[in-house]
Amino acid sequence: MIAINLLATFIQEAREYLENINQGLLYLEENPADANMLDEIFRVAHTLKGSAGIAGLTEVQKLTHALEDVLGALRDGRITYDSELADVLLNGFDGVHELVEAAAGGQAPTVDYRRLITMIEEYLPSVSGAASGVTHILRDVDKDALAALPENVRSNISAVGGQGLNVYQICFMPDAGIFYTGTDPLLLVDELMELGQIIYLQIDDAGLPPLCEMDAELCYLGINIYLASTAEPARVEEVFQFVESPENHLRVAIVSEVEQTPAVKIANTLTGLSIKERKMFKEFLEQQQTALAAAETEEDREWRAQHITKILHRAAQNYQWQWLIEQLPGLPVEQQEFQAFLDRLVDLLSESDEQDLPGQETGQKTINVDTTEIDSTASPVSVNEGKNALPVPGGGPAGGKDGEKSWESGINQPIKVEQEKLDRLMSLAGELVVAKNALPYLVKKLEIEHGLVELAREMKETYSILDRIARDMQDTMLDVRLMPVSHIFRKMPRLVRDISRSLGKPVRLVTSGEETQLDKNIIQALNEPMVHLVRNALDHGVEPPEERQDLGKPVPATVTLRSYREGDRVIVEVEDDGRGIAPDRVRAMAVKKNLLTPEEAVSVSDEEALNFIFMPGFSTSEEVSDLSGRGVGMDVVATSLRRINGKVRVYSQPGSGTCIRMELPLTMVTSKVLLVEVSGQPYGLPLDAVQETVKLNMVQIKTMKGQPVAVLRNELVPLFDTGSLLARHKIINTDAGAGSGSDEEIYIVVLNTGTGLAVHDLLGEQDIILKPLEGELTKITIFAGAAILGDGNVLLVLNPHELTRTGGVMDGV
Amino acid sequence: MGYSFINQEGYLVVQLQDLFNITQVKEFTADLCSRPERHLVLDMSNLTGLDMAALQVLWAIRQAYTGLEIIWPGDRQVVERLELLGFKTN
Repeated sequence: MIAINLLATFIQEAREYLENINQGLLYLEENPADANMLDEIFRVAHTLKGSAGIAGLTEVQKLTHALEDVLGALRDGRITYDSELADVLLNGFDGVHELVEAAAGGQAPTVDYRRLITMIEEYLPSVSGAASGVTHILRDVDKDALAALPENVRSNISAVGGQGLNVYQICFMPDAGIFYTGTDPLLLVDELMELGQIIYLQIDDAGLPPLCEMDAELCYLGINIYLASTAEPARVEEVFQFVESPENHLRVAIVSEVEQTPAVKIANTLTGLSIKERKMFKEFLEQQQTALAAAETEEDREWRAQHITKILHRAAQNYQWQWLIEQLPGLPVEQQEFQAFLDRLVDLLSESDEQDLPGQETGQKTINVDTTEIDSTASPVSVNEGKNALPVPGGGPAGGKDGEKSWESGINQPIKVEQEKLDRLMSLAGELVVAKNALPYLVKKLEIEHGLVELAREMKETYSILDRIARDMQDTMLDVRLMPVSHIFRKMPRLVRDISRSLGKPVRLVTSGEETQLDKNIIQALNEPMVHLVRNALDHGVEPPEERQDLGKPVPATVTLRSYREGDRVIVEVEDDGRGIAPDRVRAMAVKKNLLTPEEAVSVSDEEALNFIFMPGFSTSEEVSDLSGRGVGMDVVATSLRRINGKVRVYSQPGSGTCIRMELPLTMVTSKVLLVEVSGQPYGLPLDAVQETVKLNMVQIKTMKGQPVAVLRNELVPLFDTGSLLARHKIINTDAGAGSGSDEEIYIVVLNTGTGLAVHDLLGEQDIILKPLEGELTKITIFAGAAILGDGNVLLVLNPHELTRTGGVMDGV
Repeated sequence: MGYSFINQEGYLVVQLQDLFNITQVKEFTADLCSRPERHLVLDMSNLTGLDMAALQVLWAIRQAYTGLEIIWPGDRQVVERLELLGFKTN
């Protein structure tokens, strides 16, 4: 169970790391001189590698390790970042992503990580060898590993370096199957000892599974060695000549300098913290200093010191801040010693702040300090509850000031919650909203059937309270699930880059409104349509550069992604400044595909004609490309959006460009429906599809070319008999009703498509949780789904668009 | 040569003797994992050598058993090797 949780946590983190790396690499392509960004990418890759080892994903670890080598060479200036290198790194991290997703799905990876490593290695030696003039496996120093060494070890390395000896940093991560080749890595250690003195040897057990889960004949350990020797690098590498292979990962580097300044040291040690977090950490420590100084009794002082130490210790362990772990005094602590330690830590943090290591500000890592072992009941001060909460020894009068953010408050704010749990909670909140709808039925029953008016009144009041709480709860839950559209937008630069390069069309991507928020499920559902639209924009919209130049249009072309809120809907637009869509071409294609008669084609407006591109199989593109033009993309877009109660429209000006406008609901969990009655049976109609409702006398219904119509405000509204469409009793009696002078009244639900549905009665609006139909029923497209009503009955919710398009219940069965 | 298990008052005493290496690790871990005792004494007093496969088993034992008691090897060279490899002998 632990292993599963560990893997799940890793996968969640790895996805974030990879997305950050991807964005960073794209940014670096535009800004290759940004050393801070490079450092940040390196740091994230390093963390990813370490986490992969802990999660037991050795393939991920090894591939990332190879990529880290390239990043290291880049950081050392031995290679320069260009498009070719960007491809190597982007493809490499794509491979890591595939490995991670395979692990997430419990499937065997399809990517050949060894081949990727070989490709990366092939790229690297040709550069490093040329630059260093030594050998092909001499690499750059792993500075993070160096920084994490105990202080005394680093002092030794410095001292040895000063004596003219080479200090080799050797990291050897053998292949799991190395024992089967008869190789004992410890013999290599013995051989190294013959070349000089091992200053430090560290066993890397990150990949070691629990005892009873391990295959003892496989190798899980790595070895990190610092060797002081007069031997030349070639001699050191010779030790490993018989294990040299892509499977056995070896890094040999010469440590030329050990960073010693306190500011850099603390910055490197406190890895995982951004500058902002470091400042908050410092503030937290300063509060503890004040709290300690203000402690009135020795007992209180001792208690506070112990708690601060526990917190620091846990944070240090969590982040593997080796330096801090070693510095922390044992418990119980002496007052003076502890105060001095805190002062020193604050001083170091102040120095590192002055260094203002840029690039770390972008770090968004959530600090997660487990304080479950800290006994809150013994504490006279407040304790924040929860796994991520930290006790606040300074929480009393001497603690943090009200309204000010402290380090621990900063780390308590974001927590990671599995999506499934959130979905479940949201679903429960939605069900509560629906369940409370049963109360009005009961109130009515008490009043009418039992004559308990007073009790009914009290129940009504209770219902009002419950209604408010349930709605507040639902709103809060909705707010929790809202995510910025940037989650989709930030994937697009890579897509645009790759397509732009493959098509040879330079494109500038502009985004705005990334902060606009949408429900997580809608964000997920929007991903595929966005990819289609961006591909289409580049493939069909944007002209080749020569053509743009001839037309006097700027090169590169511009593709804009825009998002903004409009009422209770969110609008997302994909716009290009390409060739646009000619309405006449769309009309011609619609006629060719029998979607319009030639007469109708003439009568539809340009705007309406353009929107035929969303019909299934429709494409005006004459050639099918790898990217788009199969006539499926826009249909997929429209279908995907309909599934999430969204809409899509296209606006285009030939020669100037195209804008695809998507209109989306904020949430998908609860929906408002209009309850209508058809032949004694209630049905739901999504309220956002309804324009208005009108009550008509049958005499007001006319027949035109066999189609019932109504005239509303001088506009003809084609009518559909919902009773007939659902194979129930007719509502519009065309034999004796329509135009026959009957005074029977019926209700018309006018849809926002301009057509009307005739129903027997309107029953009011209601919040429902729409559940999709399952199994064979999914083929009946005229139903959007079903819901349970407050009185326990099942409500079928109609899909008015499909109902009027297909003309009946049997379609699709 | 090899290993043996002895139950002493609820404690499992694991004795490693002579050379402990790749040839024994698989069987050893299977045997150890089948034992019900949760408290372990690792007696290496008669251990004269080990390889990387054995080392990682020791490493895994150290992680698996809290409160593990270790009886260190009598052979000075083996002790030095364990120390170099990160086992603290105090």
